Amino acid sequence: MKELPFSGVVDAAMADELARLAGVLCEIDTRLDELTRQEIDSVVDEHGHVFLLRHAQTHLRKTEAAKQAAIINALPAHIALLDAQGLIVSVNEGWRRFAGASMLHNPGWGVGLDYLRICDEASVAEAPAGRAIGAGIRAVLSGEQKIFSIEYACLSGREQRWFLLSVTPLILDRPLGAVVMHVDITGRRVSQQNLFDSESRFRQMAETIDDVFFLADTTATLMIYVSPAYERIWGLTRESLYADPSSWIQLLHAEDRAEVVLKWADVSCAGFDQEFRIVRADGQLRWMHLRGYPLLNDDGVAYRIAAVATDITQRKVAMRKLLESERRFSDLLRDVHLASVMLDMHGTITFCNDYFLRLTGWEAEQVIGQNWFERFIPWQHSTDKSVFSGHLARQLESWQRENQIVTRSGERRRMRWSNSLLRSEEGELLGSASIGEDITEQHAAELKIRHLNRVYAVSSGIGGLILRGLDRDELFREACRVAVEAGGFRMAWIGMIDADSTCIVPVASAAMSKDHLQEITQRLNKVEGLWLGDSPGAQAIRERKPVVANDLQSNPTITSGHRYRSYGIGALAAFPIIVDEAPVGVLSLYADDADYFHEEEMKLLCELSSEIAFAVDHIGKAQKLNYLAYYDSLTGLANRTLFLERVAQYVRSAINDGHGLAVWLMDIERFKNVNDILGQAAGDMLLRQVSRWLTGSAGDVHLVARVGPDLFAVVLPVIKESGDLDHLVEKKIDSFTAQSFQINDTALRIAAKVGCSRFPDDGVDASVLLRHAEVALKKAKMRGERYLWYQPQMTEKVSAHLMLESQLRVALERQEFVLHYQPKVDLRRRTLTGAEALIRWNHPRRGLVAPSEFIPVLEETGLIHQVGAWALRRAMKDFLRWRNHGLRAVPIAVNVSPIQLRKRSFVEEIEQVLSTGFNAADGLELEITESVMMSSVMQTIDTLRAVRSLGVKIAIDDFGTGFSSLNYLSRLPVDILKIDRSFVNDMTNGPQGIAVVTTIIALAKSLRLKLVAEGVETEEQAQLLTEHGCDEMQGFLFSRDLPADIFEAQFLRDSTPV
Amino acid sequence: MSESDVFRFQLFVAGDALHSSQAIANLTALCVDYLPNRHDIDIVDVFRHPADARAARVTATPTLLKLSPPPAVAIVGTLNNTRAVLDALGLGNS
Repeated sequence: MKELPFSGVVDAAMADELARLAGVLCEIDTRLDELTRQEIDSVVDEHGHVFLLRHAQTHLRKTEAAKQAAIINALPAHIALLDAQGLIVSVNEGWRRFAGASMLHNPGWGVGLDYLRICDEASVAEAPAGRAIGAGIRAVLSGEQKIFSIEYACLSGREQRWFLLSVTPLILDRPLGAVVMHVDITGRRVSQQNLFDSESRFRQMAETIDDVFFLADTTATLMIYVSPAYERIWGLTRESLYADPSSWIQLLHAEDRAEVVLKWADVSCAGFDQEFRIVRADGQLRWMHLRGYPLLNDDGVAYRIAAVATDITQRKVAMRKLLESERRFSDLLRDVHLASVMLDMHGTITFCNDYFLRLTGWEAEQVIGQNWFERFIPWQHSTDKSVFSGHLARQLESWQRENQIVTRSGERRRMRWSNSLLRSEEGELLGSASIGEDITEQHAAELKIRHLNRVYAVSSGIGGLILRGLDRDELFREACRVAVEAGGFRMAWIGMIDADSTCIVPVASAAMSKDHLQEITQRLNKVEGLWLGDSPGAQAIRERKPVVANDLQSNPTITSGHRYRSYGIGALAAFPIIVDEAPVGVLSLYADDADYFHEEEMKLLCELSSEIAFAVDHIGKAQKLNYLAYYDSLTGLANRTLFLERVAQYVRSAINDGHGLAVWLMDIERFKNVNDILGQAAGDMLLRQVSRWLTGSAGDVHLVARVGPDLFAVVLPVIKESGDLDHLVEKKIDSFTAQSFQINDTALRIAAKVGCSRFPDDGVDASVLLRHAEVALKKAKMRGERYLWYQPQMTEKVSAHLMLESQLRVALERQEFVLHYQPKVDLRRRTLTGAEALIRWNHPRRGLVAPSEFIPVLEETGLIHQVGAWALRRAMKDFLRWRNHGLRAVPIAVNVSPIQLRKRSFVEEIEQVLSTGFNAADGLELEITESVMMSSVMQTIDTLRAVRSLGVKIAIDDFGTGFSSLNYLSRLPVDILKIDRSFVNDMTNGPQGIAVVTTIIALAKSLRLKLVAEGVETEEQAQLLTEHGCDEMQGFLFSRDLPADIFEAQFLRDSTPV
Repeated sequence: MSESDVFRFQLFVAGDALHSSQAIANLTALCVDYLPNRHDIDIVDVFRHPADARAARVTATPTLLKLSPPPAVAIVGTLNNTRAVLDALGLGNS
């Protein structure tokens, strides 16, 4: 066996052989390349040994080294390799810069130094974590611990910076050393710190955040508050923690417990910042990071312990993955939850890691080679590119930047990037390398907390005001003050709608200068009418929903943008204050920041404005309650309740003094017509005037009451046996009727019916007296008497009315209604032109009942809908039958009640009737009384237009009795005018009478309406109407109304002479 | 698709060495173009699995073995001549 060359001596023979073998190796290499056209890298012998060819070896060495160097250098983290003894073997670019910013202030960037010693000797003041770091590194180097990581702070100049340090062993076949990595997490730490500044915010945050919040007293023996997340993370109920405040420690991992207990005991002095594991009852292991600190009062004395525990399990897992990767540094990038991107000088993407791809949803080939700014930066953020170019131009070695990137799905993610320049080995600038943390959720949570905190503060502040039972103005003032002081809003004001001037009047404000408030008041005052103007407040009131302007300074549609600029206001929101579904005012809030009001804030603030509205309503009601309980709000008279109380008192004194008393109940006749025709406002005006008249007439306001919509009651406290009460009632009614009431420049005379009852004859109880007066009134109305005294048998009559109603319901079921037809004829030729359908009730015992007896009851009970619809169907059926049987089928006019017209589905009902036959519209006309048509012109017009568009003709019934003005008539959708019988009757009584009819006819002609005269009874009337150009007539002169079969036989058969 | 339609390959490579990397890229491209959805590639690093190489009687890298469908074929080289590779794999008229 030959000597191996390890002896240090190489004899000649051996040297020869070595040379020869080397030659053979070269030859083999060359030959292999020849054989395989240089296409192989390695050969494998029969034992499975692999021999890399020379060129492959060189290539691999080069690329591997280059790759590693590039990646390590490009990382914004600060990385050093330590050998097994803790000496720094090599460092990356980041480390070199870091050396200047950290405790490793050292001109040689530390290479060759003992890192352990540096840690051990670090000044406690500047780097308090130094010892812990040293111990951690030792543990990793010795193999005791697989990973070690710690967050620590250190002073760099005057600035405190935070770092996350992690140490992983470097192992190939044996431990070689460790990798030490520092990541600057200052940004994250600072933002976390800022969040915890007050107890109230703490509590409010607690409910919305995934972290666990604790609030305890200074001895940590009383748990004041723990957030709901505790239950989810610890798997224990909150109650259990309140019961035993130290129970959270019991779940701690055995290895961590002792230290946590020790440090937690000192939390009120030194604070607490520790990571530990908990083992839940269900076996789950969680890594927690708990930071605790004392809350100090103004004197600097701790009065609370606040703590927040963050579940860092995921981060730990990720970190472990990161740190456990053994083979290459590039693996670090692959597994870590940090995005890594490299750009060339032009912003073209040259590298990105898997995490970045997962984050953005793109495939590598769709990203590499693309321009970063075009693919990932929202177009609005074009400055990103100039910032990038600027940094490259200035050769700024590293910088941090937060921005937004757009993912493949279009979603925006907020990223915090650590960037550094990327250089070639020769130092030539190649581009940039960046490591980015996805802080979207964190950022959103911070913003949310900041905003919501303020809003919550306002909400709870105002909630408290409501409980304090302030009056309205105080409440408003306080609400504005709370919004500014607790809510941090820049200014706030509340305006109410002034009913008289219909403009918004600011009634309370906070933090607003006099000038500004005056300016707003003037602006609001300038507008006229119901429009209220176009200010956000007016808009909010008009639309009954909040109005937001988040971009006041840039929004060109905000007219006073320059004003807001001068006041430094970025955003405003106006919330309508809505009471009983009517907007009564507006709450305006101004914020410094643009873009302040988002969905969440708006939701809360809306609730807030409804709370204010609730309070306004509540205050208003409390004041009104007493009044409303006893007085009628429209007239100021006593209401029924108070009236009864007073009558009861008068009854008592009447009993004592031995005299009688009387109760009169007065109903204004056709009050409903006034309301319908002149409008409710006019109706109200009339009621107020009537109440004044009654008060004057009775001589004492205490004797009068309004007990129903158009029902007034009067009590006569003393009546004498001898007194002529009938005379008194008549006198009063006469003077009432003689009185003319002034409604909107119109003098109106109205009639009244009175029902009377008497103590003690008609009852000894106030309510009985009033009820009997009501019965007497009903009876008077039925009989058409101006007044009636109560009679015992009247009660029976009233029940007869009820009987009638039930009979009518049965009549509908039993089909006891019939249609009679009255012919309409052409005046000149006296030929049949149509028929009016008239409804009759064929009562089984009473025979035919007149419409005047049952139509009002039908209308009162709503039965009119069914009966009216029946009449329409019946008439249509008859018309179609006539036509199908070859009879002279003339159109039938059907009367329609106002109640039917008001029903939304009326047009559909007509459509349905028309659908029963071909060209059915030819056979149907609708007659509507004039007063109905005028009472709700707009609504009626729409309905009638729709009906008319179906081909049905419309007639105005009883024309001349309503309030039609000529103006309106031209606009009404009508075809036929029916002259009321009273005019026809008066026609022959003198020139006045004929003049009215002439005018009506002329009017109708000018509007191209067909004219039908009703109630024509004499030949003389027919002659006059013919002469004046009337088209048709209807009346006894020609024929009365007839049952359908007789009408058919008489008028519709061809043989019948007409 | 029956099992026999699937081309099962084993590609023996030497880590990241140049020719090996080329062979991986060429094979992948070829499969995507000519055998979409009917190929199965198993890449074997001879440094990590020398026994596999010995068992398959692979003597050099890169070497491509076609395991199925029969007949079994072995091709040594970077596979950059697509036409020749297709012929060897019996896909000449593709």
